[in-house]
Amino acid sequence: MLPLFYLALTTYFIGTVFSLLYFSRGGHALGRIYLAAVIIGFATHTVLLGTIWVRTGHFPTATHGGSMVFFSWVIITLLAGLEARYRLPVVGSFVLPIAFIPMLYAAFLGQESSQAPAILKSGWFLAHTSFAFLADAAFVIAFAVGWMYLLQEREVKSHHPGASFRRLPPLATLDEINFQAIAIGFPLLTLGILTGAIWAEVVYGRLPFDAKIAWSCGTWLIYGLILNMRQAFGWRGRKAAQLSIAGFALAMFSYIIVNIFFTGFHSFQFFNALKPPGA
Amino acid sequence: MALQLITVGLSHKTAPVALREQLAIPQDRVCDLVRGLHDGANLPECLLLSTCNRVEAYASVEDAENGRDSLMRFFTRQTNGTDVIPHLYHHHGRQAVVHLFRVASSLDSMVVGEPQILGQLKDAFARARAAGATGSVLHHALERALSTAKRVRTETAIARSAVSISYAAVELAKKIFGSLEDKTVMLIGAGEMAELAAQHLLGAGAHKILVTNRTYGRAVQLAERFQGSAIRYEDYRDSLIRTDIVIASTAATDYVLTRQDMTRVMHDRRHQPVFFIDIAVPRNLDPEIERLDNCYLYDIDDLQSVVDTNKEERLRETERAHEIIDQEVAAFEAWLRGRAAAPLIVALREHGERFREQEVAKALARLPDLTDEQRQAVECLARSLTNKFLHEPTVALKHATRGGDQTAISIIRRMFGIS
Repeated sequence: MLPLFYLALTTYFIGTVFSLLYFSRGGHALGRIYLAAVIIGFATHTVLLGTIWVRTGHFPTATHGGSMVFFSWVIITLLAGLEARYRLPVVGSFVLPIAFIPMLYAAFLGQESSQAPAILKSGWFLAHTSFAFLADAAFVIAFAVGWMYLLQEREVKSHHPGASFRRLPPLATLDEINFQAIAIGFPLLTLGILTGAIWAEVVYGRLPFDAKIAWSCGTWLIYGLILNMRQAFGWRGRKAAQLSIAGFALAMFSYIIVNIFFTGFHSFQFFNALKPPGA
Repeated sequence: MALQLITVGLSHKTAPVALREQLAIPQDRVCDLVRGLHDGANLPECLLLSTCNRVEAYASVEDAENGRDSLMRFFTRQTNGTDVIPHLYHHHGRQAVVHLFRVASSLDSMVVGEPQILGQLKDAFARARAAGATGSVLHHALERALSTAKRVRTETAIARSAVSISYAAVELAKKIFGSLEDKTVMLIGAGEMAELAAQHLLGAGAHKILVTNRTYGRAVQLAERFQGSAIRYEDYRDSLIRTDIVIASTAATDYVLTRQDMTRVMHDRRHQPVFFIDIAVPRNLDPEIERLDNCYLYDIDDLQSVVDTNKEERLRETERAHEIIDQEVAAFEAWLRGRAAAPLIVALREHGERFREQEVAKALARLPDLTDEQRQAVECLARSLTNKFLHEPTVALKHATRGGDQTAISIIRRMFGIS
């Protein structure tokens, strides 16, 4: 699995660097190299996840490193869907650097024991983590295009549009993608929270509560607010972009910081300390 | 003598439109004229390019001066008495190739970067071919010219930015709305530039034009021209709620729309973006409108500065385009010289072969009792000796012609007695 991981990591690194060059300099050749690298990286990445699942017998999100690799994969899957629909490779210049971070983090985590507790083999666990990561990946997209929106808006309002004005997509398109990403991410987050609650209920017979659950509910409120404000008051454009950046900051806080610094139900240490039932 | 490309012609840079009109060749006559040049002026390869901005003849000739004179006589015959010579430019050799590639890449066009010239050049070549007036030099030159144009278009941003105010407005509108397909444009007041901008927005796909003017009749007139609707001046504010692009150009000395007006409108249209183009001087639209979210306001100076920046960038890109052209011209020249080397190399080989045959015949005549095997051995010896001996000079000749090294070429010629 390690060679696959490093192959994916390397090609993504190349893809990310070239996607940034593509945005800063333009040019078809750079764009082609970037897309080719990402396609190779994504294929390797997919094989890698399948291998982890088959060899260890549990869903990749059962380990810390595995969940990072999975998160990155989900982001790039959404990016590929976006590219298929809109043909805007420049979005990748903003999404790839973010998708690369969890892969890099997984590299630092190194190889962990591939033994996960038996309760993580539950279908509820698979559903809960898949929904949660899909939602987070959708919020990554919303964040990236929100950021692009603010850059492009600054270009247009500056009255002296420069090179990035030409390379960034139209404001309306960015706003549309931002809205769609949140409109998809929000129900997924809801499902993620619900399946998590049901799973806990099934296993423990009670609803647990920890810092991560609190942050997730906060995130849920923010994205719910963004959707509502757009429907009710036409909060689009800059307001939507700024809110989705704030929402993303919260979601990331809940995902990473809580995992590292807070202990509780959602830490990997918690599960690692669990003795397999009957031991 | 080696073949080279020559061109004689005139363009918007050297001749007034009155003269260009006189010389412009109707498309259906191009073939006949090319045939006339080919047979009459004894030009083995030639083509005529005639567009609204240029009339040019290209030919590949051995004697550049003779060729140029024939082409100039051709241009003189085309006018009815006007002295065309002072308006003609002429190039030969490398300069002619550079000129052709510049024309194809639209660097010599009136609107730099416009793509029509490529199609016109292709047509011109097709007509010359139909007239039987094309050969390998012109064919290769055209092919290179087209691929140069393609490189210039994809590798530089020359054709990508707007260099007129109304196109700049369209470019901005596209970056705000993406597609203009369901967008409504409102003209407040009429004027040449406002009409031009509206025209371009419609051309870019805008859905509908609303026109309002203090004189209602004028509004109706304009609306008819754009197949839009006229609105009474007193009522136009009510239509702002369904307007995405506002072009203001009234003679009013006060703001016709203020920030307060737009705050209300924006609320009513649920903050759908609006793009304001203020062409009027003094300005018609309150600059404070720009401070509202989803409102974008460009006045005439802003648009002019966008155009100026684009022009500067185009100039920078032109330099990059010239680098590409230099590379392609060098490649074409190398091909042309390589082509010139071919007959020399053939002559060199023939020279060697002649000696070989003579000497083998002599030797075999003196050795009548050889077996077949022995005869073959003698022939083989002669052949491989000739080949090995001629190998180095052949390579040297190829290098010398590709690099245009005339001294080396003449030394090789003299050493082997090739005329």
